[in-house]
Order: sequence, then structure tokens, then C-alpha cells
Amino acid sequence: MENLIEVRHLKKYFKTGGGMLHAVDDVSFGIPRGATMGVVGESGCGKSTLGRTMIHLLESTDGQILFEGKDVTNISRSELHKFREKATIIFQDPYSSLDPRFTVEKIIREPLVISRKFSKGEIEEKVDELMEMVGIDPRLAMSYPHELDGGRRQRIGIARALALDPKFIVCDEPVSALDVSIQAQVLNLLQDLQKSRNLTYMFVTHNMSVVRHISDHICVMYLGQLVETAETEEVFEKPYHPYTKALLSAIPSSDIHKKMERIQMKGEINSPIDPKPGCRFATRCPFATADCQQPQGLTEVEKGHFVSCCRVKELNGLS
Amino acid sequence: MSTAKASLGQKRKKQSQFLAILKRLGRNKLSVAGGVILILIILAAIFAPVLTPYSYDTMDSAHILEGPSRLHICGTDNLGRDIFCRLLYGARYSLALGFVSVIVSQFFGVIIGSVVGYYGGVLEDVVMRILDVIQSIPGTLLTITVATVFGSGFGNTILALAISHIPGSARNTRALVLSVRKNEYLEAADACNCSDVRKITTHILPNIVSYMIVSFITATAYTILQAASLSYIGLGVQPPTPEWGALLTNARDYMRDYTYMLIFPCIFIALTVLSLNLLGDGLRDAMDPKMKK
Amino acid sequence: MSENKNRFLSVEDLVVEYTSDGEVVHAVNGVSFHLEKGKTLGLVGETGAGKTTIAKAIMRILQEPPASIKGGKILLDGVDLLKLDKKEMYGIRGGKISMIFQDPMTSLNPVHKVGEQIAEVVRIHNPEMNKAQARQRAVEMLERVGIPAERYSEYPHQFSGGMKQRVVIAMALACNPELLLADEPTSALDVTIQAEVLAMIKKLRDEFDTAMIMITHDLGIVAQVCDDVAIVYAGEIVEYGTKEEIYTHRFHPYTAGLFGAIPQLDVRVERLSAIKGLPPDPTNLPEGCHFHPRCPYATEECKKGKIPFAQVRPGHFCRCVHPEEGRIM
Repeated sequence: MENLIEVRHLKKYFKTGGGMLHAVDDVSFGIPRGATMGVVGESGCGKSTLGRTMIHLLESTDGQILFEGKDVTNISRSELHKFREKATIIFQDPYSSLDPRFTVEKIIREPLVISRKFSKGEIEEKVDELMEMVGIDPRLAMSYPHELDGGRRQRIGIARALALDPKFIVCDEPVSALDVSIQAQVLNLLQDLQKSRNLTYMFVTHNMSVVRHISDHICVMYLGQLVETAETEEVFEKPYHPYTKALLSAIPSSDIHKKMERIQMKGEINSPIDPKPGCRFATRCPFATADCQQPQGLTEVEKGHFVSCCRVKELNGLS
Repeated sequence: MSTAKASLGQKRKKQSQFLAILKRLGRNKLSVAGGVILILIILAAIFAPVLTPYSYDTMDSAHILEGPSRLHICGTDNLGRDIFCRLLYGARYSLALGFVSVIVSQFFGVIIGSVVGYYGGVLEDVVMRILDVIQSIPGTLLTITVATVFGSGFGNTILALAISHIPGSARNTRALVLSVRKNEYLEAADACNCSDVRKITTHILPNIVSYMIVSFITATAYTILQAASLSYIGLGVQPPTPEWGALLTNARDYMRDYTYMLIFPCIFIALTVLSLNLLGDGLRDAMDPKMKK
Repeated sequence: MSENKNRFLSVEDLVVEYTSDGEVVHAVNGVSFHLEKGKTLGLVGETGAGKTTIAKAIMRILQEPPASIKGGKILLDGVDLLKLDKKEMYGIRGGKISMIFQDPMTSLNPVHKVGEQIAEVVRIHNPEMNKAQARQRAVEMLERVGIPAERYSEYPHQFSGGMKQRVVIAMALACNPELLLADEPTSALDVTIQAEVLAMIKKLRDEFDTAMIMITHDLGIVAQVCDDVAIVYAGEIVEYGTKEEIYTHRFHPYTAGLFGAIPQLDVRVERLSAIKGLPPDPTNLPEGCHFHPRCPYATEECKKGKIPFAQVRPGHFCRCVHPEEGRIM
């Protein structure tokens, strides 16, 4: 299927006191229209930065972003405004992502007002429609965010993101701050909206169970680099990269008869500041050799299954 | 139909937000007392001609240095002027000095602070270092210096007080802007194409306005004190203008034998400053949107 | 009484309330459970269900006021902790009972060296030890949790999140506690670090034969670490049994709902079965079964009176008028 959004060799570096922080380093992948790409990795692996860079909330250092086949990496202000109407974000923290001085209705209305596309009446109508769509009682329209619980607040964030009828939404840990019984409600809502509005999601999270549940494809990131990407079941059933294996083996299984067989990682995590070329996982990888000091690239080991490891075939007995 | 309901509800809620602040403020007895005292003093200043039969500069040589009596409830000074009358008229000058100079300094301070805090970068570094240099001079000394350069008088005193308060106000605003800026709702505003001006005016300033009002009120209290000290050392408002500090200056030579000349202005200054501070404290709590009740 | 003999910790009918602004928050409403040495009980439930309050009540570190323990007994080795005075409790806390919090920085002092913080705890509970001995013990504990002795003199900010939590664990276990209360000890950590920390907690627990209460809402952690499970809802235990019982036979609709609502790695579903509604307001709990407004199986009987905590299978208890296995929400 055709990719709605695609990044090629995308890089995002931050200047820090100690040097250049390679938050996203040479990442390439595409998300098919209507699909969900799960991006997983541990804190500091650059997954949130990747999402923000893709929708121009952060300016990329290098590389290309393609949206609906067009290069949107360097675009004019007016084009940027148009792009942001089609590509938006849902935030992790339903507390700090809503202005405490705005009422629910005002928050949802804001993107509509700024776009200057609608008359006053149309805006009112759309706000009502959006609130209904995400399941917020119209009685709450005049409430302030702090009067609502986390789940409702996250619904408001979703309504705001949907206001201008976007095609692509970066979901940055949208359920991590929510209580377990509410998580399911929000995940279900996101899935329903995806179906009814043909949305494409990039789902950034550290929760492997959630990502398996919601994603069609998965990207595994380690220190700014993409180490493995494939369809969800492929990654969970046949992880090939040593890091992916270690990551999956670390998740406590809810099957009481399944004992955890954790793959232990050695050593300390590399610094993402001015990293050396070569595999960043090599310092912790039990299979590292001298070859791992060479720059690595994604190779397709099976159809649609890409891994960035020079020993992948040898370690997994693939040809 | 639901649209109509929504807009109806909106009006009700908007009003009630203001009322809610007042209601919460009303629950704080001390700040209510502060507010009442302040309003009384302001009313007294406005209606001074009605409240006292004298004029603030009428000298009555028959009644020099007379203690409080039925005729002159606060006594008279060395020139036979009624002290109560001078205090009421003085309130006009003292309060105006306080409020106007703080309004001026906050105006510039907020603009500098929010621009610098929002954009950051080299601009921030340069501006903040300049403010550092200014602030490294002790506040009163700075005011005295400015007052000396511009000369004394009512307008110049306002100028001197305002200038010396701009750095503090800018720094304060910048810190508040920075604390609001890291909230994700500003990123969310970016994501829906919000312009910088809109972000500052609709997302940042409304979220810090309560702190600014509080600092406005406490700064006013402090400025009234400073204005009084300036006059006291002869740099502020000049005689015969009955500014409170000037009244103290006048009382200085007589305070040993005619203590009341000193005490009454002191009571007025203290009451005003105290009530401003009480009101400020109460407002800070009442304006917090997270306070439910 | 013979049955009670090996009950190391026994909580009986614990009631805790908070008072704020004249409102009474019913945080814990008659919780009873017991724990044997070397066993681990998992307290599972949502935020605000009262799990942390239970642990803090056992530890006697509730802020009183606003909290107050309204009733019940907490028997540790036959001694009612609620009857001890401040000084007696001081000797037990950190010695016989230890607690690990979600955020390691709540237990670490940022201006003291980590090694010294552990040594200090050791000295408090072992007054006969001299400084060198306490230091020796602290070094031992650090090495036990996989931190090299060289890092004894470092400050908390020099450690990563996972390493800090190890320091906290070293501190918690330094005096060989007989009871360890772990309040979501790994939810702030990355999954690989979580696995290491959990493995370490398990190892040390088995080594010292420590009884442990693990507070979590991660069904995977419960499955891997706990022996018994108590499902907590609105300050009450609604279902209780061994891990095997709860994971294979679920009687309470809330338990069923919880298992259906949390995405699990080994259970693949198209759609999660969300529990409708919100957890109840603890200042105004629903009459009868606190879960009835959210329960699709609720009937008139559920709306009044105290719901009995009945045995549904051997050693398996459930607080429900209509307990039934295999429900879905």
C-alpha cells in the first residue's frame, strides 16, 4: 500500500553543553495510509523527538520527510500551516497539554478559529460534533480541564487533534498517564476513530503490550537509531535484533506458567552525545564483535522485516 | 439546539468565574479587611474636600503645633496646617505615586520579560545581563540616583520609581513565562498553527496574570514606602505638597515634643501597606483556577 | 488458633479515612488479609483504590491528620502495630519492615552520599555496630544489588533511575527486614531495567525469606513475582486468592474487567473490553457493592447492604452478590 508519510535518513540533533546530542539519527521508514506504526524504545531513545520532528514541531537537522508523496522537509510558512492541519499530535500528559484557563469548548475550538476556514456557526457545530465523537458529555463544554479526570482530558486532547480533520496523528504515549480501566476506553476510542475516519497513526510508547495491541507495524529504536522494523506479529514472534530480543524478554508475562527467561544485557548504556559510528547497542550486546564498530544499515532479512545488525543472519541462522 | 445551550452556558460561566474569585476572596477574612481599609483610604482621598473643612496648605498661626482636638482630630503642624486634612490630600499623592509608577514599570517589565522569556536566545542573554547590571545597584540607591538626575517633583518621582522597578518586574515576568512555556499546551498550540502573538496573549499571559496582579499589589505597597522615603530625604515630592513621606520629613524636627505629628502619617502608611499586602495574599489564593471552592 | 500460627502478618478489618475540607475520604474500608513468611501478596487495583494507604498504614507513615486509622488491627508476629507508640515503631520501621516507593528520590536524600545513607539506616537499627561495621554492611548491600563498592561515596544525582532504585532496595534490605512493602517499585523504570530490578527483588526476597507486599497494576509483574493476589477496588478487597486461582478462575466482575481492559502480551484481542464509567468518588461511595454502577451484572440486591466476602472455591474469596466464573465485561 502507498505510504501516507515517509521519512528518509531523518536526523535531529540537539546542541548541548557536552556536544551534539543525536536524538534521532538516520531513521528511515514509511507508514501506509490507514495503518498504525508503533514506535517503541526505552526512555531517551528519541522516539518522542522522532514523532515531533515528523510533524514539524521540531525542525529536522537533516533528511527528508515525505507526506502524500510530496517532500515537506523544507516548506514555506503557508505550506507548513496546511501541513499541520493534516498532521497533528496527541500528547502524553493530559494535564499539561490543556491550557488550564481554557474551557473544554474553547480548547477544541482553538484550531478551528485559527484556521479561519469556518464561520462562527460552523465552528459551534463542529465543536459539538467533535465532543460527541470523542464521547464528552455536552454538559461539560464549559468546564475547565482541572475539573475533569485524566480520561476525559485525554478525550479533549483527541478532539482538539481531530478538529481540522487530519490524516496523520502522532500519538505520543497517549495512555501512559491514565489509569488501567480508562486506558482501555481511550485505546478503543482511538481504534474506532481510526476506522471511521481512515486515520494513520504513529503510536509512540514504551508499553510493549499496548503497542502489540494497537499497531500494525513496529519500529524498535535504540539511542536514536532504528534497529528493527516489521509487521507487529513478526517483531513479537521473530525478533532478530539482539536488542529487540532483550527488550521483549524483559516484559513480565501475564501467563503464570511461563517463566521469564530474561536475556541479560551487559555494561552501561552508550551516551547519545557525539556517539561513535557503528552499532550503538554493541557496548551492551552479548554478540558484539569488531565488525559492529562499522556503521550499520537496515537490511531486509525477510519480506518487510528490516534489521540493523551486521550479524543478524549468522545469529538467527538466516540465509 | 445544543449550540444555543452551549452559548447560553458560556455567558453564565464567564461571569461566574469572576464571581467565583470574589467569593473565594470573600472567605479570607484578612484580605477582606485589607480590601475594605484600602477602599476606605481611596474614598477618603477622593472625597477629601468633603471630609475636611480645611485646605491642606491653609496656615493658621493661631493654632500652631496643637495636639489632637475636636477641631483638628490629628492636630496641627508647625505652620498651623490641619494634619488630618494633609493626610487625606496626601493619600492622593502617595497612592498615585505608588499605583502609577508600578503600572508604568509593570507595563514595560511585562513586555520585556515576556518577549525575552518567550524567544530566549542571544536577545535574552543581552537583555538579562543589562538588567543584572541595573539590579546590582541597591534599589533605593538606584531610585535616589535617578531622582537626583531627573530632579525632584511629582512626575520625576514617578519616573524614578518606575525605572528602578522595571528590571525586577521584567525578571519576574520572564521567570513566569519560562515556567508556563514548558507546558505541553504550548506545543499543542504550535501544532494547530497558533501564531507567536496569539500564544503569548492567549496562552501565556492569562496563565500568569494572577501572579502579576499579586506582584502588582505588593510592588505598590513597596513603592509607596519608597516614595515616602524619597520625600523623607528631600528628593521626592516637594513641599507644600502633602505627600505622606513629606509629612514625616516635616515631623522630624518636632517628633520629640510633638510625637503625634509623626504617629499619624506612620499609621496611614502602615495601614495602606498592610492592607495592600493582605489583599495581595488573598488574591493569589483566590485566583488559582485549581481552587474549587 | 493453630491456623493462625504461621501468619506472619495479619491485617484485620483495617479502616482508614482522610479528612479534607470537612469531607471524609473513605480510603480503606475494612481490609483483611494475611501473609506468611517468604510469601508475596500482590495488591492490584487502580490509582486511588487505597493500595498505597494500606501499605502506609502498615508502615505507620500515614500523615495523621489528615489521615486517621479508624479501626482494625495490624498484627506482625502477633504484635499489633497500631498499638505501638512512636518510639517503638521507630525501631521496627526500616528494621523489621521496609518500604520501597515508586519514586526512588522520595527515599534518598540528595545531599548525602548513597553509601552513608545505607550505613545510617544500618546504625539506627543496630546500635551495637560501630561506624566501620555499618560501612562494611552498606558496601556489602550495594554489591548485593549490583552496584560496585567504588560508588559508595557518590551522590544520588550521579545515578540513573534504575540505579537509584537499586540503592533504595539496598537500603530497604540492609537490616534484613522480615516484611517488605514495595509500592510500584518499577513503574518509573524502563522495561529492561524493570526486569533487572524485579529479578533482584525476587532473589533477595528468597534469600532472606522475606514476606512481601507488591503493589502494582501490571498483571505481568503479579504473574511473575507474587504468590497471592488481592484485587482492591474502592478501599475494599473484592477478590482474593492464590495467583493460580485468580489467573485461572475469576469470579468478581471487576477482576474480569481488569483482566480484559489491560492489554496483555500473551492474550491477543481485537478490542479491549473497557470497564465503563469511572472509579467512584471516595468521599461518596455507592451504597452496597461499590462497583455496582459500573457493573453490567448488577441487580437490585447489589445496591444495598454490606456485600459478604464469601469463599467461592477453596481459599478463593469474592465480594460479589452474584459471583460467577468466566464473565466478560
